This record gives sequence, C-alpha cells and structure tokens, in this order.
Amino acid sequence: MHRYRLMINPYAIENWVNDMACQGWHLKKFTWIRFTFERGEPASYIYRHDEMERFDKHYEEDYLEFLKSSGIEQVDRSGNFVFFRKAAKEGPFELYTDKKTKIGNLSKKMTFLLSLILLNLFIGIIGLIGDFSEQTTDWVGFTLNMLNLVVVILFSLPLYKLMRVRNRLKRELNVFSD
Amino acid sequence: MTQEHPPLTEGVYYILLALYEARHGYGIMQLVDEMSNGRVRLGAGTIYGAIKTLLERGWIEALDDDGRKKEYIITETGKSVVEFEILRLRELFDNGIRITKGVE
Repeated sequence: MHRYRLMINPYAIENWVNDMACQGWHLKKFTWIRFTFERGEPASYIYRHDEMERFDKHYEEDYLEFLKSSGIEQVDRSGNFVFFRKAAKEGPFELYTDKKTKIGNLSKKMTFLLSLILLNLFIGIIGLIGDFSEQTTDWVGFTLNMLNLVVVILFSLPLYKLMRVRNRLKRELNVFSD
Repeated sequence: MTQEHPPLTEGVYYILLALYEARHGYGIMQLVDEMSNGRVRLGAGTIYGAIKTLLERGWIEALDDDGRKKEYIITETGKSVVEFEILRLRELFDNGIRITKGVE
C-alpha cells in the first residue's frame, strides 16, 4: 500500500508511521513524499527516524554498524533520512534519550526549514514586484511566485511546532540536567 | 558553570562506569540498564554520540578493532574524572542528608 505525505516535519511523520504500525501497516520503503507499507502484525515494531551527517561516510558506516549490533534494524533510507525499527517486545526504543542531542537535532531541522522559508519568501516577493512592474502583468511569473509564498505558509507551521518542542526541552534543562 | 570539574550527565557517568571493563556499545546499554534497575535507558544514538565525545576528550579509548564490534575502555584521565564526580556526588548526598535529617 502506498501513502503520500510531505516529509516536512520528520517527527510528525514518525508518529504517523508508528500509528500505521499499530494498525498493522509496517513501513517498508519511503522517499520524501511516497511511503510504502506492507501488512504485518499490529504494533509488533517501534519505528524511529534519524538524519545522517552530510559528508561523513566513515562516521556513518560506524554508526549504522553500531545500531545493527544493538539489535536495531534499518528499514529504508532516502537521502540523509533513515528509518529504523526494533521489535516492540524488546521494550521501549528511542535513539536519543538526552535532551541536548534532541535540541541539537531539532535545531538542525529548524535551520533547514527556515532557510527554505526565507529563500522562498525572498524569491516570491522580489518576483511579485517584478511581475507587476511591466505594463502587462506576467501571469505565469505571478503563479510561480504565489507558489513560493504557498511554500512559505506550508513550511511555517512545522517550523513553529518544532520551535515549541525545542523551547520546552530548553526550559526543562534549566531545572533538570538531562 | 565555571567549575574545574563540572557535573557529568547521568548518561556519561554511567557510560564511564560501564567502561571500567572493556565493552561494546550494546554491552554499555545493557549494563547501565541493569545497574540502574531499568531507570536509565540510554538510546543507541545518545551512547554513540557520547562515545565520540569521550574518545575526543581522551576519557575512553577504543581497543584494537578485531571483530566488527568495537570495544571501548576507560583511560586514566577518565578514571580521575569519575573520582572527582564521586566526590561531588558525595558532597551533594552528605549535604542533603544533613539538612533533611535523612530519608527513611
């Protein structure tokens, strides 16, 4: 079975993948938009995502080998995104249990989203000014630049959600060491 | 904090303790779980990140890589860090007991 979702907020996708697993649909393959599931026993696996470092092949191989030796199975990989799973009967499964790494991971995703938002906002606004500056309005350009602004709106909500999660973790760090 | 020996995180403290004997990542995870009666469950990503940092600081070292599973062991520097941490924990503990008159 195929399902389509935009991988903007990986944490939301992860929750959804786990919901699907509870209903007996297990993630098999994925790209940034298309997710393939196959039928299996409901709730038999817990799924977690991780993002590999760019340009560090050695670290990556070592890390993946390390996860494998911890009984964690790699489901599929698309670009830097990897989904892992572990049998639910082996107990709770989290890749990151410390707040500092969680905050760091969130920050990386937020920087990525923010740069996409700013880039689209910039191109959109400069473009719109250009579209109307000539005597005849450039409707093709106008449509494309409106799409830039749609991207801005589409990506802002996930950014806001990630920011709230990060702020909550940061506030907890004021009192708790981890 | 501007202390000479800042507090360690619980994870780092337990990882260092686990490495008084050579262990691979999964071994660390299991021992920490066992020592803390399941209270401290370290994620594989967190352990891996900590191992990298501890190697950089020279608090642990990797043993000769014979198999596919790499083993690590604590260094002398690492041991002295743990000893300072125990002193700090003792201070926290003693002050706590002194002021609250102990917990039953």
